[in-house]
Amino acid sequence: MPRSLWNGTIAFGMVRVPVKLYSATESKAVRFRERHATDGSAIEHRRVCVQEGKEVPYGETVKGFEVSSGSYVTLSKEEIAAADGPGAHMIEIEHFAGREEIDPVYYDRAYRLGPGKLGDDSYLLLHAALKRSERVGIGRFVFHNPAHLVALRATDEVIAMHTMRFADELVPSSDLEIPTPQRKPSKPEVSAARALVEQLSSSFQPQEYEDTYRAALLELIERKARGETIAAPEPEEIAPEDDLLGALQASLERQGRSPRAKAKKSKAKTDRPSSGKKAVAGSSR
Amino acid sequence: MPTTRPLWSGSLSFGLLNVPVTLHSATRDRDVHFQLLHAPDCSPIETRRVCSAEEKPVPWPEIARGYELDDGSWVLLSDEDLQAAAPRQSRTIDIERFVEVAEIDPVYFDRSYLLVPADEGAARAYALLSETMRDSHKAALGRFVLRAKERLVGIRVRDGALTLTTMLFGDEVRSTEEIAAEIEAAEPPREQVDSAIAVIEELSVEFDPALYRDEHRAHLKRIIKRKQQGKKIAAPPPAKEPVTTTAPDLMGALEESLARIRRETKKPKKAVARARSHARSR
Repeated sequence: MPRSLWNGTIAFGMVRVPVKLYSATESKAVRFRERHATDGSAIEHRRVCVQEGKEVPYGETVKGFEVSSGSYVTLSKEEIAAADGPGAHMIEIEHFAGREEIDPVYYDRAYRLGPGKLGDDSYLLLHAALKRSERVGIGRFVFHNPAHLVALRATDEVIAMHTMRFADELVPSSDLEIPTPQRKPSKPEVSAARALVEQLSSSFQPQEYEDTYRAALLELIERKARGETIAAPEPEEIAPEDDLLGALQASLERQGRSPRAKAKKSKAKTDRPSSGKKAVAGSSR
Repeated sequence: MPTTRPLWSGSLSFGLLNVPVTLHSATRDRDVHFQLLHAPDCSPIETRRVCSAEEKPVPWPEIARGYELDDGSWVLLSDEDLQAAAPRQSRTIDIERFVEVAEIDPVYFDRSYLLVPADEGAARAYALLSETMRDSHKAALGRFVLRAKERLVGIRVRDGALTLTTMLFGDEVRSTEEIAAEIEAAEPPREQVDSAIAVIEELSVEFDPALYRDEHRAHLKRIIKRKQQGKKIAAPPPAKEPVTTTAPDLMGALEESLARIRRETKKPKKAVARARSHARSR
């Protein structure tokens, strides 16, 4: 059984659901530590007072908010904690919204909730109600310090929780001024693009995606440990595409010749067409 | 064209089509940031990287990534080494397949970015792909290299723009089996679930992200202001232990919830929801 991060209670109307919080994810990324390139020794991070140029023990530090250049308001841990207010160990559901209404871009970190002590009945009730109503509970969660906004949704078996981003933390796409094309895509282009999307469609099977990079990195580390020199890859050239319809039709034909070949592709990286080939095909029209 | 500098530029590759695009962050940091200060004189504290053997500060170009082997020895890797490990080149996002947007559990999504056509010429192919994906409710799955690391990404249309989200691999998402296996109670009776859904429906609103403010951020800013004025900051009162409702009271708690919410719902639903969230923030 994984260790729970937190024990608390969901408040849903007058119903109290004791829950335990678990992390939903675990990074499998290859972790590095900083080392000195010249002699390979460990790098230490030291807190140094800019004024005195001397190392400062953590106990002598305080957090400051810069109100104007070089001028700080200092806050103690207790004062920063005061910003949280009461309500720790409680997830209070404020609203419910339809599952499809919330774009996943609002979801930040993912957790799972399991029932807490004496909480099985109320937990199962909330799970069943979320599942059948296809709604997501939106509430406030206090963990360590910040009062996160969270979303609670039912998966097949458990209640999943995501911390949420606030609206002003998202960049509106209007900020990026996406240019509108001078000529709209033509009907044949639209239908060719649709056909290609359909051809490449399958169901989402997360276990089909392996982190081939992770494996390649570990293999490279092994080679380097044996003293081999690693050659850097050649930079590639990509030809931009002007003839949309021509490229779409050529893609459809290529797909048609090897039906379902794509579906197996991600398993074996050697089967993938190299980007080199693609660039040639793109420029040889 | 976007005014912010792109994090990456390259091309979105789909069949034999290459759409030149730039990548921008879809999120921005709004947190209140603190500087670590030296308590006696309030001068700023810097973190310095020091070589433990030489006791000398180390400039950034001399920092290498080290990986510790089982025997305790270290392998040092350069940026070029990392590039060599990426099985593909770093200038394309290769779309491998399309799936239904609704099929992807959001637990797989990590960081979000926005894709923008790199030039006027790319705008047509970009529009063609985004309109096709929007109309077919599809997300594209592919891989690309960002900051010398190959990532699995999901691309979908949101608000007229192609939104790229880095994704976790299957083995990075924990199974829910162990949590589910611990549950001993039986499925709740149908009438209880009906009542719970009635409460959910009463509290339901159309999702409007503008309804929620970062209260913590706002409160922190108020505290900074008060401190600046020389006022004392009181510690928060201790949190009360919540009362746990066990099975026999569940139905009663549901009925009371419904009665309470309905008493308040004389006003239009949305106004009530807003009033409730405001009342709570005080």
